[in-house]
Amino acid sequence: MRNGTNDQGLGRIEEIVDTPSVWAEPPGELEPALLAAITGSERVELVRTPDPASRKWWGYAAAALVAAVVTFVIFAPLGGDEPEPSAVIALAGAGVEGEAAVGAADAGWWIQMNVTGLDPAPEGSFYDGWVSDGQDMISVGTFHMRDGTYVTLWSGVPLMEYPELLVTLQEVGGGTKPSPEVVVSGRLGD
Amino acid sequence: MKAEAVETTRLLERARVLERSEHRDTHLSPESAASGRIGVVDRAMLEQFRDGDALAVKAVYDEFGGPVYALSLSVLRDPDLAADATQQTFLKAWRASATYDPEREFRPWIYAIARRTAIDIYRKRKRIVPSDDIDGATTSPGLETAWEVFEVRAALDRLPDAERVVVQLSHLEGLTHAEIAARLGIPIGTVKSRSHRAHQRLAALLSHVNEI
Repeated sequence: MRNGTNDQGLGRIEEIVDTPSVWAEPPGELEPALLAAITGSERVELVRTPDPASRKWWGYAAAALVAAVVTFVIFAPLGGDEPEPSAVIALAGAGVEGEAAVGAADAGWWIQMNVTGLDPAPEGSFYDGWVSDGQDMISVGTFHMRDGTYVTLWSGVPLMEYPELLVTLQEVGGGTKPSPEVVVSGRLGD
Repeated sequence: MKAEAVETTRLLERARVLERSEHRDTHLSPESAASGRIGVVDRAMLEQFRDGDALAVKAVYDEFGGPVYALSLSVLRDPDLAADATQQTFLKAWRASATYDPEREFRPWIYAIARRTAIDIYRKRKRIVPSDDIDGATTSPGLETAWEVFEVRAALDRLPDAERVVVQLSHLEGLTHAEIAARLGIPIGTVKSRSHRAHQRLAALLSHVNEI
């Protein structure tokens, strides 16, 4: 308090206001650099439940009735609604980074991971996704990542209660418990 | 690469045109009209952001670039790393923008990305730089106040310019009211009233921070 009259109830944030880093301005060249980077970048696109009313969908249905019936059976339990993402978890590991979009659906909580730098699981091994509350770890699906950077996992337990998301490298035939080899992880709310 | 540069130039030019035509004001809340540096990115702009409009990213950066940079600098204590963290934060936000729900508050969403990005850079840096050159702890000491720094900077950016500069000169440069009056060439009474109003605004904007 330098002038003795400024205390209007700022309380403990007074010292934060005094911190030089609070006032620091980002470099002017950052904004054009950001826009340039965005121009050459791709967004995460959500996997969306096919809209039954779309022409494309009905085109497929007319061309392959059996496929349409199978697809209806698959998607009917989800209620036909598009998934609504509600949060993003930042993911990081050794040489691996990415995000996981998460949201709720009728069947459970979906987790769509988009990671870069994660090598395909070697032959004889696979990746296992887990959610954890710090004590229990619950599997949310297995994958090998031998093509692409996206994978969709499903959780049957609420992610607010199991906020940690981890991926471990597992050996085929090595049992169902999580291995200690965590390749990427993140936490909801961090 | 050349096409990207052209696209960037096009975006910046489009932004300038929109700002000149005051189009940007249509995306700001009425509250922002009386405020100084920035407005409040509203629902329409956030929907554009979710839909992948690069210009909306610019608006979001204009509003949250300061708080994200301040947070990053607070955690990383290095302007270059903070700039890198800031760029990565907005790039990540852009890549994940399709997953953003405009019904939800944007500030905690971008804060979470910024905090995680700064932590990742801090940890990578720690692996590379010898421990006597950087704090040996697994997390930066600045992390404890990251949320407060982010929120305080966001609140400061919402002050009218005339009030913000008084707070800045008082808190950052340590000037007295008389010195501020001399520096700005305004009566000391004006400095006092602006300071009073600014601190009242900050107290109101940041009441939730003191409640934590």
